[in-house]
Amino acid sequence: MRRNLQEESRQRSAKSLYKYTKELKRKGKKYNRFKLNSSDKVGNAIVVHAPERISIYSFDDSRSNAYLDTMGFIDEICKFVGVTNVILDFTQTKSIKAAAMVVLYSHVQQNLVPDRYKTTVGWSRTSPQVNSMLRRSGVVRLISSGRTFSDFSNLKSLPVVSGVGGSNLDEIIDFIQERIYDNKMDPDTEYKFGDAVSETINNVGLHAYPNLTSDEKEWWLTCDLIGDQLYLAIYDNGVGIPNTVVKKKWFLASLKSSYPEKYKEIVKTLGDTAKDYMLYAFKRLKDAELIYISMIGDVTGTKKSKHGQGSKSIKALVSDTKDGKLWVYSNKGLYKFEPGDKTPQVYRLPTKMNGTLIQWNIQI
Amino acid sequence: MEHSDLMNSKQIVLIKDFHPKPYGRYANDAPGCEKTSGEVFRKTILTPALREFESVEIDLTGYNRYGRSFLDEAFGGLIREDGFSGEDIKKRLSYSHRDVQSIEIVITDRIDAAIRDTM
Repeated sequence: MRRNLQEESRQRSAKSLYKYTKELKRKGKKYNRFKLNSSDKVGNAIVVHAPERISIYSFDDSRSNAYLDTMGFIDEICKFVGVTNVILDFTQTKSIKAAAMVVLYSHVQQNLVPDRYKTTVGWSRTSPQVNSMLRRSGVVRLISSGRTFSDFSNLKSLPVVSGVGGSNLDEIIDFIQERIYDNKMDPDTEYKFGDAVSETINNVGLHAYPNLTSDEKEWWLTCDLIGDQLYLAIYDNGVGIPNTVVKKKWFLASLKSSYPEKYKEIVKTLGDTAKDYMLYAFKRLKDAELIYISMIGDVTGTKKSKHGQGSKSIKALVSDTKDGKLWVYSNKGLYKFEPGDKTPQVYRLPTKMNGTLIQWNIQI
Repeated sequence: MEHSDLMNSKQIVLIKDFHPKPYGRYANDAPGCEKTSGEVFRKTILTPALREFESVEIDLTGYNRYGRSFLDEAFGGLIREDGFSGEDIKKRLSYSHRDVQSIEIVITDRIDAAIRDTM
């Protein structure tokens, strides 16, 4: 009986949603990232409008800043989902990139309160690919059932996977080996994947959430194959690399090695007796520079050889790959590494991405 | 104890004698790491074997997804944490992975890094 009532309720909701989305008529209305509250109310639900492009790659083009639009959308998800009934309106969305999807998914998951408030999806009217991505990512299932993905059997594509510690690690690598590499992955490549994913999620446990218990330190992963390019991304919603790197014992040695002029300036300003170099450095360095420092690996003479093992593993996955690319987003910084480059590039992001996202592009 | 007093040799097959899916650096890294981490492998299996036997051989074959921090903590930790000298480890410990030579290279690198740390 209860199940029948639930089913009727579900059908009514689906009809209502269809009606709502039909009524939205937002043709010609643009997503306004500068408006604090760009959401409408339809019935008893807030409509949170997704931008045309959900992506974190484009952030320096004044005509079209997908990064800012996407972060604005995620801010609104955090503001409304789990607080009231919400329609996530993708009707005007033309594209969703996998890396942005994993960030979006994590915020939906963290904010949902399915027993109390209803969240529904308004499907894209312009892009079947967007609707396919919404289904494949598992976000629709998450929203409708409150359940995250856990069954790895008979998968054609991998939804966003979440976990703590090494949970699901082997299932993820199995999927890449079987589905992406068609069971032809050689042991060396398998090691590079296993090492990079293992070290990234281990870093989440060690650094990202200093105030949570080990079973609360969650990460999210997405893996998508487009043509011969594999896009693998791992996200955590923690405090971010810039907030943790300055607290490491090896920080000053790494700063000296990577930014010697800034190191000299800090020492000159504070003198030998200054106690709080790290706080000063944190204020003087940009987030992207702090990510750069965290990624340089061993520094000779630091006597802290444990430092940098994770970053070596993270870089190794793209180092031996043709056209491989590594992106590390954390707070307001972006670090980009391509093996052909002499020096990794660093960028200042126009607005903060909470936590850290590491993405590898690998040619299969 | 002089090495000559120790029993001859011990072979350890890591995935059989320790865990089929080793993961993590420390026992408290994440739920499950109390059974899978490099620290636990070193403390419960590797160090006791090196104290009891003259030579110890670790076979890492059968799992290709070792994280670098597991290997660093298990092998570098022998010198950093458990007081073995680099010379002693180089002489008495051997390790192999039949399919992935990179794993052997990483272990050698982590032992060498630990030796540099204690110089």
